[in-house]
Amino acid sequence: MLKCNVAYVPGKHHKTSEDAYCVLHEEDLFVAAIADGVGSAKCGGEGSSLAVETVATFIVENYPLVDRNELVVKSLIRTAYQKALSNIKRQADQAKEDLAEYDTTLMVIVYDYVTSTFYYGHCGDGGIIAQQTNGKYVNLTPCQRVDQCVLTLRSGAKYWHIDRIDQEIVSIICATDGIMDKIRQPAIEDTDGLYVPLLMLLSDSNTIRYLKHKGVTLSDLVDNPKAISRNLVYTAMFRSLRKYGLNKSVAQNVMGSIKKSAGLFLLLDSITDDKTALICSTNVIPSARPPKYYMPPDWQQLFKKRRKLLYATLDAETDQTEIGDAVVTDKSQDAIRESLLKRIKLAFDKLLRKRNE
Amino acid sequence: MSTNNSIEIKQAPYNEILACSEGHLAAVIAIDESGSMNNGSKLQAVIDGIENFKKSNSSDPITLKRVDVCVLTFGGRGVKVIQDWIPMAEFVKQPPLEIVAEGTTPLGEAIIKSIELTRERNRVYSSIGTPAFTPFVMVVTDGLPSDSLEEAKKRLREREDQKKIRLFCCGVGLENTDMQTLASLSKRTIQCTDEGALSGLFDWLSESISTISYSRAISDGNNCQLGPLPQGFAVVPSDW
Repeated sequence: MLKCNVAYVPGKHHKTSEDAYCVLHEEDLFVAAIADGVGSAKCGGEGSSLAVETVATFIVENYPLVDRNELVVKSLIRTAYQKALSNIKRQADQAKEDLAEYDTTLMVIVYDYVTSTFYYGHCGDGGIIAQQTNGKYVNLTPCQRVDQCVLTLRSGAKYWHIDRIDQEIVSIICATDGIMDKIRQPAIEDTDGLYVPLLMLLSDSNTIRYLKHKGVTLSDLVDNPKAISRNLVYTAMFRSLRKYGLNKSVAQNVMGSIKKSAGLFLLLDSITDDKTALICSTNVIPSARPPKYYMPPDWQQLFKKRRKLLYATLDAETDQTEIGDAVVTDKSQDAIRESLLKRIKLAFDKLLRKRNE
Repeated sequence: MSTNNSIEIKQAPYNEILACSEGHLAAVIAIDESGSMNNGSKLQAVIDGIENFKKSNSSDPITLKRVDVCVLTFGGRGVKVIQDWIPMAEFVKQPPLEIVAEGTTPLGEAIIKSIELTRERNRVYSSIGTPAFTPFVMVVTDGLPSDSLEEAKKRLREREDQKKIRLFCCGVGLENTDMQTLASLSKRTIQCTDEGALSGLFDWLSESISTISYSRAISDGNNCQLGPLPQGFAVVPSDW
């Protein structure tokens, strides 16, 4: 049986959330949808609510009883997306508003208990990340932002990603851009652009269960991370690492690094957007990855790398230092420093020799 | 202390951790350096205005880290980038701009260059996963263009329609008929009716950039309302 946890919190400066979610759990089928109403659209919140309700209900009501093959299910999800778009169009027409005023992203996760298969649908700048049984996190969806514009449900069927998940999955996190932008850190190359400690915290079923047992829900955690005991969170994550199979000292070492880097709480607390995440987990415990996989990145290194990409000419300028009228590069500065040291050493040797004589 | 399984992690300053997912706003300032800018104190007012712009931004922590600035000039020596992309935090420390006014007004070419610069900038943001706001361009000119505006108009309309640029064109000391030419180019044309107030334009620019950078990247930032223009400036109706 799948377990589902949801975090649903309005952004720091928002009265209500423009995000929406809908979870329908049947005997043989699990459907969860999540959407983010575009902030600049007048009725983005209505658009997202209508989208999740339509897509989830349509899939449940029309899911095949027999012949549950990949083609049929994917086609059903596509039709559900069409249905969601046409319902929004109808709503916009009735309200005499432009369709763009109802702009929303839309993601859906479907789990078929009969065939033990996961499917997903996606459009927009949120994302879906799955953890495989080997412990690795896999980003299933692209962040659909072209220039500074988000591709929404309205962008049309050619932008809807609908697929089956072929890998064996332990858990899935599906979140809107507020949370996903902190998890996706393209500069972190070692873990395919994912900030693993944050993923561990938000999507690991053991971590979530332990925190819940201690009275902290996922919503509490994303709503006001400063109010949550860090030790409690670190203990929960430590226990998960131990469950994966890491030995005590290695798990302690990983947690020591996570605590020291400070990024986890800082990033979580910096989200100002609406925060919605939906986590579906199985009972399977993932295998352990090498300890390095769970370590936080070297943020300073990433910062430097990013700065170099953003301000190429600025870095070229700061690599130079003015000495008198001449401008010398770091390389020639090193040469000057080296020659100075040589001269000092020679003078010192000379002095020593004289003294000995 | 490190064991075989450990990796030494240094604690990064907070801003270095957050910078990796911080939204960015690309702002281009395009300044007319044609010969006529020497008449009166127009050019000096622009340079002073930019110094004010630096001053008002220097104490705003969000603007300092989110806004990237690029300055270009257009005049007798063509269109030149005199300040390549630089974070606001660094721009405010730069010495005053040195601009020598001479020659004609290749405004069309300057607009095309601004579009290319912002487009390229957003590609860079996109390639490193940085959320971006709609780029902001401020053009200040005192003369009628000496080159064709057709290509610039076409490209600008395309980008504006897609909400991929927000370009303001400020005409200084121009007759109403000449302002119409500018208004046909940009839907956000401003007339500076009092040359003495020109440096105030940069206070408004500073406020506007700050308003955008405080909004949510992507969605709100692209549509957020900017404050009213300062005294001495008027919006010119456009045929867009």
